[in-house]
Amino acid sequence: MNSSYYYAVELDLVCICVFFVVLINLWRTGTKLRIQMLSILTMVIIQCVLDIVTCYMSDMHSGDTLTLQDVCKVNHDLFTLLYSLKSFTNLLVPYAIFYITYNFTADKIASKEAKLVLLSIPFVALSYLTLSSPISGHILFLTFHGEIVHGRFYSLLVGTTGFYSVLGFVNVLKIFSSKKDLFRNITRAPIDEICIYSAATLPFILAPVNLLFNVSIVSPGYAICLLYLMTINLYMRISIDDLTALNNRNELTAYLDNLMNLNEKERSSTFMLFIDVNKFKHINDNFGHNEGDVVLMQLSRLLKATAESFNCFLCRYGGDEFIMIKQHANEEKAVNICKFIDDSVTRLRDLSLAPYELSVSTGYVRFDKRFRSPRDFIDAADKLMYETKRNAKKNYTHFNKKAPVKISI
Amino acid sequence: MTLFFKIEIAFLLFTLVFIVLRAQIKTKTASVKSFSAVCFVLIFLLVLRTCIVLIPYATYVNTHWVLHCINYIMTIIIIYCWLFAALERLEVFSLTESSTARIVLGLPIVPVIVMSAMSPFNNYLFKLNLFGAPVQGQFWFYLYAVVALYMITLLVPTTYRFIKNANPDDQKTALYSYTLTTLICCSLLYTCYRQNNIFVIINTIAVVILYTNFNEAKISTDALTGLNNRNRFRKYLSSVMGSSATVKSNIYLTYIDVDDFKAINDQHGHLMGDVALRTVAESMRDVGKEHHCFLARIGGDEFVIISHHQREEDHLKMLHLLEDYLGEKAAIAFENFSISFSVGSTNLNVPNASANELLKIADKNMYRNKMLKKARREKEKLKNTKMNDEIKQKRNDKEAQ
Repeated sequence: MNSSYYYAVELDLVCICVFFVVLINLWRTGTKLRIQMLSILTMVIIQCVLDIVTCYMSDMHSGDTLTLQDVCKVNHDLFTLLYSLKSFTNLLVPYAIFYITYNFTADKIASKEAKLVLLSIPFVALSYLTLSSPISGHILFLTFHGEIVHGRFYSLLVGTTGFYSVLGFVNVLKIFSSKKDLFRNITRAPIDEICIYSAATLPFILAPVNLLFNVSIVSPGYAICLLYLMTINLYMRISIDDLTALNNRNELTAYLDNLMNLNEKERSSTFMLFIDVNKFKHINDNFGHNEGDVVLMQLSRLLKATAESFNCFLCRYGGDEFIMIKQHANEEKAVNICKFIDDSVTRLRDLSLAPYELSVSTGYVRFDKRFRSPRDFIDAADKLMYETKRNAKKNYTHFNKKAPVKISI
Repeated sequence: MTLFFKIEIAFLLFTLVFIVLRAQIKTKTASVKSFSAVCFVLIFLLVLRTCIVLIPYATYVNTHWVLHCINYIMTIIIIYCWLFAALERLEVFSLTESSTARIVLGLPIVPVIVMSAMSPFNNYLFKLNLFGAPVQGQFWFYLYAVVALYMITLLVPTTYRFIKNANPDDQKTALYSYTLTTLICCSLLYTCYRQNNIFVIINTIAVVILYTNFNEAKISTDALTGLNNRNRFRKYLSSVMGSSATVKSNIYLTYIDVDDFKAINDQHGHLMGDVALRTVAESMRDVGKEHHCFLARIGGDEFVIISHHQREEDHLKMLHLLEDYLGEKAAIAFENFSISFSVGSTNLNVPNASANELLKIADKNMYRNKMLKKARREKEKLKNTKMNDEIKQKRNDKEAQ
């Protein structure tokens, strides 16, 4: 075997392995998007397999042992068919990505179906041209030397692929901007932002480039992107709480580790708010755990809205305790947030017809330099919470009138 | 064209390893040091091999000798790191955390380093032929011996894990890591025999697979206690619910709850609460060793056991055993105060019951037990308070006098 073909096949095999790892991982997650993602993965795997087969066949064609007449004998119909199928997958994958992302973003557009049909016309035309090219030779044809040559409409194929790539990329950007909070969750470091944008762009650039220059860089590109997206997916599943969809404890420790690196001035303007449901055990015991879950979910929705409007970090610390971290604030602001949460929980209780008393205790603590480790900080907030809770249990209104109690360690 | 493909493969592998390494660092887990080491060494190896490809042999002969020396040293070091990464994955912390084990297992590397450093002069380990490709040297077999030693070292804990552990997922993990390491070692021998880059390719794929496997396990286990979490419990329960009535009548669902967990947390701090939860998990694991059980933590202080028994007496025996273990462990862990647990259980063979309803039944049984206990305790408390009141009254009387 020719050594350059050997390396090409090796490259494709690595890509197929990575695709299979991503595929198996995706199959186990059981998300709603499973079918769509799986279809894209299958297409990409088919593309790889076609690449290997055409490599192998063109290696056979270019061998010294075959004369010109032999080339014509050795399945040249099959060869052209496989080659045009390979070109077709190059068109198909950007179209599939465009199709899936379009269904996501176009919920609000009235004439959604009609537009989709209109935008699909070039795809249908080009797929007809590509698939029929073994007979007609519009896109590709095989010379007597066993070489594949571009046909008349080849530039159309490249153009259409580019067209769908641009559309797909625009849709992906739309999805990013519509899910800003989740996006912010993932990209805390600026390098992540660069990575995620390049992962979103790469497959769209690669497909036309692959068609233009006939270099096999498209499968490695897909492999890199998909693996990166899989790591993000795994990360989200590990560090996001599944009941309330807030950050969980793992994330809190990571966030606090980051905070430890700040300088003195920034640290002292950072506040941690501790939020705890009063008598949650009582609700759980008397009304069942399901009711308790409902309470937690409602509360987390409320807190999420609050955190967004005040631009805070929010996480579920455990059971019925939530932690909010506000940077660049002063005491007044922290008190305001505490009051705001109290008020909105009171409103929530008034609105709901639940038979139980729903209220929360809140307290805040400043991130001074006396806290040497994140553990100290959490412990301090913990102690503070019990203090406030004791006050709250005695007389709830007392807590609202006065500023939250600050503890001394 | 060949050069282009070679560099492209190196770039692809480099990026894949880099992505995994970045994700691994981001999740901040302490117990994957060796795995990160593997990633670092692999990245180094990839860069080294690209250098070997790019630098022409004819003009830079000495550079090639040095690069090949480093290449062999790194190859053996990466196998050493893989050994510890596999051990970490199998959670054999007694080996991975002792420095003596690290040193003893690291000793066979020293001759490899010495021999490959001597190779340019004596051709001990390898020599470069006219085209700059390495050929086997005099003591080449030593490399085989080291690899075989590592394989045997790994085989022992893997077999032990495989036989001892009833959990099919753990068995799968053991099998996984062993197969991967075997593949890596075989590919090393093949690569050294015929010049190609199968070794780095297999390494990269192994890194990706091990990373996903590790994170999958992390998703379905509870971080604090190491038991299965709610997700896995739901899956397992629904899979068990699908079996026939005769099978189901042999399966029991047990619900365990720590009494006044909130009070422990409030009075003694969250750390003490965590210790209490771990105590429950440990005693559950001890029970699991003697019976065929599925253990899970499904909420703050709620634990669940799904167990298979032939007779009902066995189930009752298991419950007694559990209570004994819990009592023992709690007595050791807590000196200042006592904790107690409530247990409720149900047979899985309840006609027309969904998974949620079954949980509710077990929950109810548990609450009944809890209430009984509370009533008993309150009686005692009343007695105590009466006694206290009497003492106080006596004291008051004394003061009045």
